Amino acid sequence: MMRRNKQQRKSNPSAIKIAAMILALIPVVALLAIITSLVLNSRTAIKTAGWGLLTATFNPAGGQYGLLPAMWGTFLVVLVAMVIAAPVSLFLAILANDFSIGFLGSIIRWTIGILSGIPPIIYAAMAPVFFLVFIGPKFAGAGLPEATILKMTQYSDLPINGSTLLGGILMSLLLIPFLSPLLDDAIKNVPHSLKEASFSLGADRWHTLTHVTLPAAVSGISSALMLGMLTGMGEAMIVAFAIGFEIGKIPQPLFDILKATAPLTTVIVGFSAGGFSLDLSGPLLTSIGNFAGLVLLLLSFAVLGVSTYLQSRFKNRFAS
Amino acid sequence: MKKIAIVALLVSGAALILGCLSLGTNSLEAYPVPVLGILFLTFAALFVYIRYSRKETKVAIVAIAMLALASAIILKVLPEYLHGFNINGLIYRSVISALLLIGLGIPATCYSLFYFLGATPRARDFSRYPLLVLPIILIAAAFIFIIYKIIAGGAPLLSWSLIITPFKDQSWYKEVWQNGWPNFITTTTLQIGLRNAILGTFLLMGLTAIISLPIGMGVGVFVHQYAGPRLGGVIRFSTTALRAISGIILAIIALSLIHAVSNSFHGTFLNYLVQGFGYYPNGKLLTGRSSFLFASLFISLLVIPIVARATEEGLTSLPKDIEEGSLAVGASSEHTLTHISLPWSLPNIITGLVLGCAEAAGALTIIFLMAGTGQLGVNPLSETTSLAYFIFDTRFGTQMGDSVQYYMKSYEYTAAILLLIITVGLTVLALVLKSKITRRYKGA
Amino acid sequence: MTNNMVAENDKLSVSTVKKTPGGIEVKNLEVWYGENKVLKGINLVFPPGKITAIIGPSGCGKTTLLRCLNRLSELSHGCNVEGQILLDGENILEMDPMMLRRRVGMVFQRANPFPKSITENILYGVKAIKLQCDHETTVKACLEKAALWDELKTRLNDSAFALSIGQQQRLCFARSLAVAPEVVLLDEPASALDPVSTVKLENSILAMKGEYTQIIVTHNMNEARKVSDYVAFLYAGDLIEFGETQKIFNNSEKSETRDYISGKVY
Repeated sequence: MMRRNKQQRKSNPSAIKIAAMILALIPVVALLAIITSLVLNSRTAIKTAGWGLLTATFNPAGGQYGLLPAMWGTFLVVLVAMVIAAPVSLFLAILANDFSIGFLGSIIRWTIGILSGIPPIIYAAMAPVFFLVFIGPKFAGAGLPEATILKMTQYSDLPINGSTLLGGILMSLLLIPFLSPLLDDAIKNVPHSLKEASFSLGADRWHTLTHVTLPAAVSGISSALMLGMLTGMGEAMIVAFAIGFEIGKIPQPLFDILKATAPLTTVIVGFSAGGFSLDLSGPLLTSIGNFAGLVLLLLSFAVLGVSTYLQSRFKNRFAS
Repeated sequence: MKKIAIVALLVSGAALILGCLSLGTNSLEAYPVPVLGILFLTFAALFVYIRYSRKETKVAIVAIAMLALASAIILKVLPEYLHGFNINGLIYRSVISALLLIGLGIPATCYSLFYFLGATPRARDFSRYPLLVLPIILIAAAFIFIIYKIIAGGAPLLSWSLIITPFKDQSWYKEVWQNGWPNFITTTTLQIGLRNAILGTFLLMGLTAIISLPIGMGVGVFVHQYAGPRLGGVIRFSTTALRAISGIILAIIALSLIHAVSNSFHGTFLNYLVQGFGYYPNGKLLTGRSSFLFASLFISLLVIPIVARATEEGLTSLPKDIEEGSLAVGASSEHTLTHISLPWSLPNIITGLVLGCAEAAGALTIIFLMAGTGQLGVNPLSETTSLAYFIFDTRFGTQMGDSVQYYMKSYEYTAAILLLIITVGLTVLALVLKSKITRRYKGA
Repeated sequence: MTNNMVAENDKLSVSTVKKTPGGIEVKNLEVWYGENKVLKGINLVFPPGKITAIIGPSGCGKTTLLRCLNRLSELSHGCNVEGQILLDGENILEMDPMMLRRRVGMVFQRANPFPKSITENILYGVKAIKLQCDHETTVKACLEKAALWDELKTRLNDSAFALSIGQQQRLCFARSLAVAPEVVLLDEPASALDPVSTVKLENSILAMKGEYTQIIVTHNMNEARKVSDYVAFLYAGDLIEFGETQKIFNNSEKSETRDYISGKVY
């Protein structure tokens, strides 16, 4: 990058520089506008419910407007998705690098590249089919006569109308093509000299992988996983089709992924769009929706911050 | 030893395959228990043999044998359906058996492969492949299943007329003269088609590209060339942060903006600019939910960071010698920028733009509350519509107030095929461009 | 197979093992990188227990030859090796490469310690091949051989990255000894080191004469003259001359050798 020294800076800036500066400030302005809008619109909610917004469950009749169920919903669905997606993406990266045979690495990279072009709405549209094939028979007693089902359980006790498990599975399919290239980079960037040192001592490839390559790539891997979580947290379409828009209660037992615990993204829509599925609407709920948006935004930025920090540590590790 | 290892390998492999199949169907419930029993016997034998011939006590092998036995017993004892503890479902026994079979099958296959190949370090490496490959096979099966379902469901309905005809579901009163008296008859048109959805997708891509290209390049150029470290850092952070913002947040902000404009500036040009408008067949002027222009503005917020990063990468990849060479002959740094640096970065910028278009085509989270069915035409000032929205509409149409769900629900997968052609096609194009770029550096 | 079956089941320690160091015989070795023929039929014997230096101008194939001896050449794409390389009579090209590398160790051009502690670095190989030995004795013996024990005995748990480059390289040298190899390959080990560290490293190499077979690739004529018993001169993929150090440096048979040593050409 060619920087002007002090003497030159005092001369008139060129048209290009001015144009570039104006254009470059647009994202900054947009970001500030978004944050401001969310904050301003949340005032009503904060005034009415205060800290209860974050700590209580949602029970308008009882005057509670807490977002805890929604936050838990986000956590659960991202957890399920990452539990499936993280190992698969990691194994794909390992197979493309240290355990590659012949063209396997190229095949994996190109296939993943192609799959990364699938937009989330496609996965969302597959929700009913996945339910029919997988969740229904295995978790909802599909194929059993109704009388038998009713004997065993209340009919409403089945994951028919959506479940975190379904959302998590579909989300993991979205995350795998996203995570794999990132993990591939993390593993690829471990210096070859370390791996050679390990081989020269007689260690086999698996030992080198687990004792040298992966520990050296840990910050890169963690940073990538955080970005995956970020994408999952912000995903709305898959969750809309697979879970639903209504804010529910915190599931009892806590980790019951067969219940439909709507995450923040769809809950925001439910509140703000007014009348989408809740027949309530009005300034208070819209404000709560904005507040939920603010919570989601801050959580996303926190995760992004950690990821960036880890990424810089990863790059500096081998600078010496 | 090889004989026992082969048997062990076959049994473990069978257990694995059985486990994977059990994930898909419920009708294999007779097999897990006997297979697990055989697994127990085989691995017990393997343990004894290793103890005897190599004088090693392999704890892992006997552990697998014991766990196989325990699993067989558990599965024998479990009822067909599990319910209770307030869990929201009836868990069929095959879930448990699949988990047990796969959980035991993977280490069993790895160990038996190891001994089958002679227990050398090289064998140890090769024996890890079942562990690495199995989850990938399961996920690959899921993807193949999805693609198969989409093509099987959508291809039969795909036709040229579907692509050319726009969706119309309109009814209005038409004044007709009959026997000298004015009469109002309800006229309806009903057309099944995806034309406007397709055109809408392209229009969104185009408008987003037009908006994001200059802004993205401006960000890239400014941060690379002119900004100091602090200002550059702020701009870089804001640009990256835009991608971290969930589409939903942008959606509700856009929505509140539309409401504000609609309330404060009702009926003015600004209102029509933001909400989009079109003419009903009876000549009436209707406003839509939002215009393409307005929607593209918000989608651009997601695409600008892609273009900006591509521009910056392209500019930084220019070898410093070339840049200095231009300045050394007396060219100004602006001239160097426009005649050397930016042309050099053009492939990167184009790749970024193509990727951005793919994102815009698939973007739904931002626009799904502001889009419609495009019955009144497709131009920058008409109501937003796209293939992605169409797919969404086939399921949630009634809640959105569209009738697509009634008439075109079976075309869901067809629209999906068309959307995939566009997005995957663009993504592949970007990948090909990217590989051409890296090839350039190997020469340089 | 014999050496390693013994290694895994018996108790051994670097300081007490009495192995006769193996000799390496290279027969008609030809190596291609893709279309490029890098080694054109090398025939060479590396005498057991002695130090052999491989010298020659850049690109003549010295490092390629060295890396064939522990089959690290296989890690490079498109590398094709033909011919025979015998370690104590066994063809290493047919062995399990990992078994081979336990018997033939390597010190690289640039120090590449693991991002772990000094102790963990030394014991890495031992743990990787599950060698039964006393850990403390091994660490002490290896560091003594590299003349690092006095400097580092109080800092064994410090990170290896905290050491100077010279110490790191000597640590890598010590690390390669922990698995009790028969042969140690050294790829220009002192090229990135300051004079003081170079001298210490060279002294360590000399001290191990007889106990190990050492093969050192070097650009430095003085180093070759000082350290080695035998010298092999390679040029453009061919072995030009091989003989005792004194003979090569004082009255070599081939004019190319004389020209290279005196710095006249290349």
